[in-house]
Amino acid sequence: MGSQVLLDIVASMVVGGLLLIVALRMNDKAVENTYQSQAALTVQQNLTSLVENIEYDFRKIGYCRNPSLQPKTYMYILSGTDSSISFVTDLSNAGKLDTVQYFLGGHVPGDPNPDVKYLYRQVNSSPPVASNLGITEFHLRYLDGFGQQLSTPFVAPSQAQVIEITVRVEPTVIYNAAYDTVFAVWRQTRLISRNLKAR
Amino acid sequence: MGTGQTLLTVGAIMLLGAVILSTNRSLINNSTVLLNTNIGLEEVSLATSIMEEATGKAFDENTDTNTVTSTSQLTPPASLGQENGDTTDLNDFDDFNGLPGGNGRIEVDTLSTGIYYVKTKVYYVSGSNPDVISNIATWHKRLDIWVWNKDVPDTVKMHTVFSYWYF
Repeated sequence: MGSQVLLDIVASMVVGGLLLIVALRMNDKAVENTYQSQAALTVQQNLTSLVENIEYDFRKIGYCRNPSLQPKTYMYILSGTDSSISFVTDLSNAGKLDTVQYFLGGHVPGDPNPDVKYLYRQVNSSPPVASNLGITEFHLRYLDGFGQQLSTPFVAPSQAQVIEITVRVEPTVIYNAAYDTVFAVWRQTRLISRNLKAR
Repeated sequence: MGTGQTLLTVGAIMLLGAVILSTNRSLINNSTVLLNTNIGLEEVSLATSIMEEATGKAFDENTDTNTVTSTSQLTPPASLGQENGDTTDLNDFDDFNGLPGGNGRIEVDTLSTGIYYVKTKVYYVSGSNPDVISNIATWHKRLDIWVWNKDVPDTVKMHTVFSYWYF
């Protein structure tokens, strides 16, 4: 075997090795991207599902089909903190008042993402129902009629007329544990029983 | 290495390069689409917040503390907006006609994915055709909201119609 042939073989092995490295890195990146894309899609779907449920309940705060049972003006919220709220509404349009409570629970046991927590929803005296949608933040801010923020927990819940809801959702599992790179946030200002307030 | 082998090698490398570029482009496009939808979610949340806030106000400056029974008592179409240039006191629905801010837009930088811009417009519409601007005062006002992020090509546009009832 001549030296030229040997040189050709060595050179081709080097080039082949480089190409193999490129191909492997590309494959690795493609796998990471696939996982992240799927995680981002799941996060966005979870967020929209969660917000749909929250909006469904929150838009009816203070409503009652039976006017005689309707709570007095601005007495719709029973209690509230920056991560929990309890309010009255006629949830199933049955003409009777229900007490609905949302509150953030503890970390989800066994979940690789250490920030993910349960969000509980409780109606009347039924057991709280937990949802594990990758919620890492469920923050509530309460404002009075003049736009001033109320400190929590409330001293006078009747003063709260506007709620600002911030929800942040992260993936429960993700490639390389890069949880902060994929997330979705929803922040919305919601009025309490605007139909009664508007003139 | 003969000329034929050299050509084959060059062709193979070009083919591999094309595949890598195509894959890379696909990955970037995928990430861009997901980022855009993420920003779209925040834009919708911002727009609905403004709609909620606006629909919680009085229908008109003249219905804030009083009751009106004729459309002639409402603010004329040309005067919709903040009264006397007071941009700090948004007390009725049409105060959202041109929110205060530079270039007719407000800047929101409190969300997580960058700076958002909001532009709003309020006008009268007829009850039978809420898509057309009415040149006279009616019992229905429409709020159009545009929300965009300078890093994303699409603008979210939402609208709502707010009406007044009297008994």
